[in-house]
Amino acid sequence: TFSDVLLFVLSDFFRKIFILQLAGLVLTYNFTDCDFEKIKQKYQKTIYNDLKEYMNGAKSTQFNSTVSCNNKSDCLAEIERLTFSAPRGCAPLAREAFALRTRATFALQCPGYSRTQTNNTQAAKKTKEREITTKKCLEQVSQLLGLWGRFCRTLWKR
Amino acid sequence: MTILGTAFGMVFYLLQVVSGESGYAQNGDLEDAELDDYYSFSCYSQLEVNRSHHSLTCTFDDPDINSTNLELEICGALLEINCLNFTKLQEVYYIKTKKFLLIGDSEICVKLGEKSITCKKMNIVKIVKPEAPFNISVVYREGANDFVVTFNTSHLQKKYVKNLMHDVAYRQEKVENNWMHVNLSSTKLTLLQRKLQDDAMYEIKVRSIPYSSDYFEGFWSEWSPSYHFRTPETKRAEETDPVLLTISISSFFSVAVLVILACVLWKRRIKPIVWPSLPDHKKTLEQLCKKPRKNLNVSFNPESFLDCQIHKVDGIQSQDEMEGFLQEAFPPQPEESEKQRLGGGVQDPNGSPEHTVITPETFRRESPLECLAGNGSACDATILPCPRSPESDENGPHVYQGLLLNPGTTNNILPPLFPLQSGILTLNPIAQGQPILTSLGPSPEEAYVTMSSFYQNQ
Repeated sequence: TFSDVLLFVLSDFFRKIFILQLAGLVLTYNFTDCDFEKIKQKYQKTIYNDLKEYMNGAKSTQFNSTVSCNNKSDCLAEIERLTFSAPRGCAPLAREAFALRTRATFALQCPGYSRTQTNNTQAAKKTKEREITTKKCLEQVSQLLGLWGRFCRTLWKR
Repeated sequence: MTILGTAFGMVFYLLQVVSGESGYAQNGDLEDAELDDYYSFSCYSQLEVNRSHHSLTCTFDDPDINSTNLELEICGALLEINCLNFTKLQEVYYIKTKKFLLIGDSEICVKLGEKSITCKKMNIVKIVKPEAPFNISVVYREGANDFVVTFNTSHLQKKYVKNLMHDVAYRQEKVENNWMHVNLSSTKLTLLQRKLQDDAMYEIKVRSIPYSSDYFEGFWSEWSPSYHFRTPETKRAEETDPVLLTISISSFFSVAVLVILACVLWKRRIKPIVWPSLPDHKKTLEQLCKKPRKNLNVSFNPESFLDCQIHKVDGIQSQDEMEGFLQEAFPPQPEESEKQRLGGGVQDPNGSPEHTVITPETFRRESPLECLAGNGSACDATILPCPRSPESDENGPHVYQGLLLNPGTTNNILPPLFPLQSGILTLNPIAQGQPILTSLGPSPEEAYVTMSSFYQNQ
């Protein structure tokens, strides 16, 4: 009957929504148990050079710092969000070298961080030409530099 | 639906497990171990060897291995790709790429066709082999007597491997395998000349390794090209300046002579000048008085003055009182008793006063202080001590009121020694019957003796 069909469809719909909500909770990782010293070392030796190279001489001081963090895990969460998000006007930065190294660093130094994310981003993609670096992208990378610096400074206070 | 979902879930789970990392090949353990030993290989990486490109070089440890059909492949820890194949050049396999992730381990496998024979996990950042240093130079600094060794390395301009430890090795060419090593983190080294042989040929070279405490680790680089230099001949004895030598020797001898002279002449000459002995004032006075006159009886023995009238002076009274007193004290005819009352030999030139008064002002006027002040006329008179010898009255100097006069003063009008003035000195009218000083005339002056008078009479 019609009611049976409607009930079937709605239950299936709500089930998917429930699953998606669970997936959202799972994807929000808690960085509390990460090895912060090794993350800091990898940032200083590799990721920092990539970020500076991406800025290509543009000074980070010309952008306002609008994002901040309070502690180490909070800083890493913000760094992850800014690295793999796609704000309007800027293509996703997830394919950049610094993003790939950030994800690999988290995967190595944070137990339980999704390896599947690493594999997916490293998978060969049909490369299309890198989008022109816009001011929005530079601003976002500038925010990342600020967050990483804040993260390193929180480790000095220990 | 529930059953269907459950079934699909189990299928996916099994697929994930099956496609995961293998590690359960228990049967092939021995074979794998033998293969690992046979196909053992070593690799090293060089980062930013060609601008931003990195290189990875691998070779088999066994040089006799037949590597004709063997390939090498690296997977994992790569940017945007999964695997890369090595390029083979004779017996060496290498890759040049920018796609090293530099984070995490990679797996390098030996492949024979499509089959992986053996694999080894390696971390690219832990097998770094720096580039060899170059441009070694050695400069001799004559003033500092040392050698400054400098060299260059391409890692100073690199982004990743920047901190290196350098090993500088040097030896004398004649001595084989006697290398001296110096470790340093900078590109400049100073070698002291005294630690090297004179007039000898030396060989020096440098190599580098990533700093141990850094993120990057690895192996020693190749040695830099050797540099050869010769140490100078040290003519230390001959190079000594002859002028300087002469001056130093003469200075030494001069100092020695001065020391000897000082020791010899210390007591006789030097010490009296540096530390003169203070003479005894009594002896000095006797010597001064003895010299000019042999027949002058000078003595400080009180018994010599028994025939002199000596009166004690008590104090000084006011002027008005004494003026009146003096008027009474100096009648026209002085009596003997009145004269006896005069203590200290003070008399009025006009007569014998009953009481003679000496005013301090007059006393001061005629005092030796005026002599010291430069009043020459007042200093012309000198008091002659008692007793006088009769010969001195006639042939000796002139005497005026008991004062020994210089020859120049006889023509001068000598004022009375103690004219009546204010501030009168009272005399003690004791010792009656004692004669008044015969050396004094009828004037109320009092004789006094000064050391300066003695000295002048010389």
